[in-house]
Amino acid sequence: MIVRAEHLNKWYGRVIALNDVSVTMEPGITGLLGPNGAGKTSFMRILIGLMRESAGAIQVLGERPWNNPKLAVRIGYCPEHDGFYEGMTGRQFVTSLARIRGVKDCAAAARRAIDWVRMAEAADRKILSYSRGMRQRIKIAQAVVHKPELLVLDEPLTGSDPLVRQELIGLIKAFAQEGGSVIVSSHVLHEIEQLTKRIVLIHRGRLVAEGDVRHIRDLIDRHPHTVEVKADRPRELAAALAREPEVVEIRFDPSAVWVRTPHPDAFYAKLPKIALDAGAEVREISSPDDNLEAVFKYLTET
Amino acid sequence: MLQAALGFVALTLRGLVAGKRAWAAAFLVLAPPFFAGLAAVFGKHVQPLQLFHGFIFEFSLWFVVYLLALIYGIAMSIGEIEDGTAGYLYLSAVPKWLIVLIQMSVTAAALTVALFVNLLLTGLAALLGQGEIPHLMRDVLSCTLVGGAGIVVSLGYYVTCGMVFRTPTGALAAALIPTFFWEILMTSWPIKFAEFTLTNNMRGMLLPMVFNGTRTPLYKYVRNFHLPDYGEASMFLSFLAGIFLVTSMVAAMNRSIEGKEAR
Repeated sequence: MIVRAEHLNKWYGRVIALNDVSVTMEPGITGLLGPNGAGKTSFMRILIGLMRESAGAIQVLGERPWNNPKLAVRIGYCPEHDGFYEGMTGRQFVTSLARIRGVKDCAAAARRAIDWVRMAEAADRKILSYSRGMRQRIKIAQAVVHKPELLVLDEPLTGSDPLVRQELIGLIKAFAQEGGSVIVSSHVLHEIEQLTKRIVLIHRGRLVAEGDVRHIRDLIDRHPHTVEVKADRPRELAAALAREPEVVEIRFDPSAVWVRTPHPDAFYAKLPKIALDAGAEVREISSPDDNLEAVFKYLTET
Repeated sequence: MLQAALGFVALTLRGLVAGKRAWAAAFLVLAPPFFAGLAAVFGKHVQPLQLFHGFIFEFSLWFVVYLLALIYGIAMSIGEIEDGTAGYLYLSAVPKWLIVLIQMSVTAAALTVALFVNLLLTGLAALLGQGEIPHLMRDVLSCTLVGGAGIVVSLGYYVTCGMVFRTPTGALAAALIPTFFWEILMTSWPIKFAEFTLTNNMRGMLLPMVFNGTRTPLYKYVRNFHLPDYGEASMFLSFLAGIFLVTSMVAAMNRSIEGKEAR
């Protein structure tokens, strides 16, 4: 495993940023999800050794990260906020950081990293003149310039336009395919959904859930799921469904019926017979709960 | 590790000449020679030697030393944290205490060079008046040595403040309040403990080096108490420099780089 946190706590004065977080993360891409202020950045900063935990223990790549320079150079970190030496060019920035991480041929390493993020053309321009997408890419270049085993990305896709977003997603996946591990945070679930199915949900400093999407859905089965049934006679279908004990809420329009049920598996099993009895032809069944956004909403609002 | 350490030297040197603080430092270095030049050219009965010594006493080895150290000490500690660049620096192959040691050593050396330029230009500007400065280079080098010691002590103190306090306001308050109440008030209005100010220890070192042991009218404020001699002053400044160097390194080792979201 790459990360093992046990009863991790972090507080700033009287404000609790992390509250008894215990989690393990395996190699590959892991998504860290939570709304703004959930504690994702605090967790990441403890994970890379920039912050010390207030209580509990954490191990990253088998070592304790706090005040551990040997471990620090095995990790690449891309912070959420832009912090640059603005007077530098992108190339100078990446080369300087490669040098302080002990990379031997730092100019060549910087060139490789800059090429990898497709910033070669703009690398000799001052960072001051970079667009948001360029800044994100140069931050990723500095994070990978020393060939880390673990890449920690704090909200890397925030503020990027769709094209840049797809490029960054491609880069992150490519890093993982080359054998690296990635921990990536976001407060937008569909971003993470495109990167990985393995997620850790944090809310108000607490670990809400971890696992893949399906596992998390299993955890929330006690909460009503929304199922959309597109059918040709929605009124009749809705009337038939309203008599079923599995259905707790129902609404319909001329093309579809939306049902909320705490027992989706039982509902799916019964639906064909109910539709047949009601004389309705079902054209499509979908569950918005398959979208991570709904899962997240369920978990964090309860 | 050596490569990484050299990388920090290069980054620190680059940081010294970048941004607004470089302009502020340039102003501090060039303003005293400018005003000394004005006084030398337009003043009546101005003796270059007295003018030069006056500027050393009241500007170069007082405000210039403190302000240069303040600007760079705060910039390299809480300034880097607030700018978000500390996150990159502290994820390196070098332990934090060594990063601070390198940054402080390079900065202190560079600021001492800047002080030398300031003193030399001030002396040359004073020579625009009628008269001479018999031992200009000796005085400049002596003052640079003494001022360098003052820079190391002040820089260590200000970096410690920047590392210990979580907010820029807190760090600045901790840096400025003792500077004002201890150094400026105590030195200008000598009462008990005046011999323990950084300024008076620098002036104590200057006495045999520049003023041949004679308390000229510049020393009017320090006639009524024991002014540390060269040995006492150098010992005191070395002690302070050591203390603040160690406290800044220890503070760096214990400093979490929290970022603005923590507030």
